[in-house]
Amino acid sequence: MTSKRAAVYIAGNLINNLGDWLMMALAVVMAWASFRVESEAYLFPRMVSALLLLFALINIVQVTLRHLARKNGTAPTAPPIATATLRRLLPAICIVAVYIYVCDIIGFYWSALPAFVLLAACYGGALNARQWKLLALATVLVMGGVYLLFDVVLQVQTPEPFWID
Amino acid sequence: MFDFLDYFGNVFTPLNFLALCAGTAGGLIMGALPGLSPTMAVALLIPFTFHMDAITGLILLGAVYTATVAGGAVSAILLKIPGAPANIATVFDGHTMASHGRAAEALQLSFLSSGVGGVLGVLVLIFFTPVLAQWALSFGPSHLFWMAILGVTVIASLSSGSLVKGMAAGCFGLWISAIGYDSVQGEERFIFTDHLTGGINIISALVGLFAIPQVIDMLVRQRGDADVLAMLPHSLMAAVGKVCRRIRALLIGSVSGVIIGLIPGAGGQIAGLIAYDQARKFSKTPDNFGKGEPEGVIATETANNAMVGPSLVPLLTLSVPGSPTAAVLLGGLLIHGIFPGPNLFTDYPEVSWTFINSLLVGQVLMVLLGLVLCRAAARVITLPENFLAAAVIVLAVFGTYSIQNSYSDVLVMITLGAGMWVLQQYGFSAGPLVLGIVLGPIAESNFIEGSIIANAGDGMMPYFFGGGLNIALIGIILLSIASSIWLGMRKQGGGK
Repeated sequence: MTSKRAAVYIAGNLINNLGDWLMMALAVVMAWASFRVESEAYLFPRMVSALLLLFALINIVQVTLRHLARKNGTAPTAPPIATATLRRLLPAICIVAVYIYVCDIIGFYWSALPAFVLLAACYGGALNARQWKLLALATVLVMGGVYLLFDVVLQVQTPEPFWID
Repeated sequence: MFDFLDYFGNVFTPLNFLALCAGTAGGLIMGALPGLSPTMAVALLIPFTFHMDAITGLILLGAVYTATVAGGAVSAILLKIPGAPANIATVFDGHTMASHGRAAEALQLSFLSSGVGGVLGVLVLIFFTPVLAQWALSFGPSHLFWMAILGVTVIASLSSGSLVKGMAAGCFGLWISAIGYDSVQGEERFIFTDHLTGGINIISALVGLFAIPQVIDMLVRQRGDADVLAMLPHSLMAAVGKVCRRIRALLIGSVSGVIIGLIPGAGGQIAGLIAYDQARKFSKTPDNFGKGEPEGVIATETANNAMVGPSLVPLLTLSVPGSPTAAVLLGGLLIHGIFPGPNLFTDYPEVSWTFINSLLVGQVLMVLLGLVLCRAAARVITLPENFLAAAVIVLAVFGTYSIQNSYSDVLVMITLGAGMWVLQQYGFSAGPLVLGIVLGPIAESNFIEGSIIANAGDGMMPYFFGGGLNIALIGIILLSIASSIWLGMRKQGGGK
């Protein structure tokens, strides 16, 4: 096998089996973290991480053999997470990331409101006037319900906006 | 044997009955919505119940659990999309009936038979649990350790497409349950960042692992305008008569549901499918199955509700959940400081019996409210998924934060959820992982306790691997692994 062909195989294996390689990487990290400390408190995690490493290794061997068999003759399959899926999720990832980051700064309610509206609007397709009204109504109901439940009924103290002392 | 009657009245106190009604109605609606599973619904609710009285909180969770399973039949029948995995077999005949204008009849049969199965299942729970609890008193640390491992192993072998991936997920869950401070020596373990100082909170993990991947799926999916089938009116008394005349289907569903429910890790999906298969085998008109045969709906829905009560038997007596949703309920019990096990009914009789009684009353309520829901079903299931997804994200963040007023819990929830979604695309499932997190502390504490006893006695090998009960438990673990391998090989052989 030429080095170029080997590189194609390896890249294809990584892309098609990303989750399995992720589990393998996690298993290695967990085993390293469990075995590096000499303490009885680490006995159970050591046992578990050893088993995890074993299962992750068996899994990687299985998926790699399947990948090689596919390349040799059977029809290629698309990676489980397609680029189109990631593109579709990109707005949600950005909205949720910003939401989680700022909820501690500007307060839970002030951050949740735009997050809800943006998420619902971005994934509702082309919204007509009726759907915008529906969105407005849903926003009032959901945010009002959340406020009633958490602030009034359960009296949960959420972070306040930075402009409130 | 009739201890449950002493606490029956507790179900009807104003707050408890309100929680039961709200949980049942909410559960039916959540179950009817295709994007929300029973496990996710219960996981989302747990943070709210944290602030309630233990009894009220558990009543709410139990009501949602039973009602979402029944409510899932609505979208199965009207949209050909099972509301929960337990409703897969309902699609076969339920949707066919609906496509012939018999949607109302299918829904009525579904709710009536769910009620019958559910009541029988809870009666099994009421009479069988104390017996098993008595037997479980003889369990020592080694037995409880193996029971915890059994819980993870069974669900890994049954709920995942691949046994190896299921076991890896289970081990992953067991390992991350060790993050934080060791319960015996108080030593810090795997605290890579300040956000992990308190360990992984069970509720954050539950919400993250079950709710976030489903939200992501809802956002990825581009469900078009739902083609909801028209519903012609149907006489309720006629539906009652049909159910009463199909005793065989009711019996098959009940027995299947009860047996599957008692097996730790099996879950409702299997109960429904087995009941459907058996009902067809024993039917006088097996060729009608798949073409709108009422027995298909009756057997399936009876089974998946009959499973609910018995799935709580191993949970309440041995701390081993009988289904992923029961695993979430275990988390709900633990956050209220209630530790299931052989002493549950002696240490917390009021909580445990009131909870069980509420399941019984809840089955009747579920039938009544479900039959009312039939009329509004078409409106409920066409709620836009983008609104649902956005609402679930907001609820998940608020709910997770409210447990310990900790921003770290929110970060853990989102990280675990996003990671789980990625892993799910590659065949890993959340069930074994969650059970690993929930049962990890139980497995570890019993392992340590057992080690101390073993080192003072004959040693580790005789203590953990000797004795009839240890051997039986290890045997069941190996059997579940072997059967999963055999089923996998059969599937591969059939595919060739």
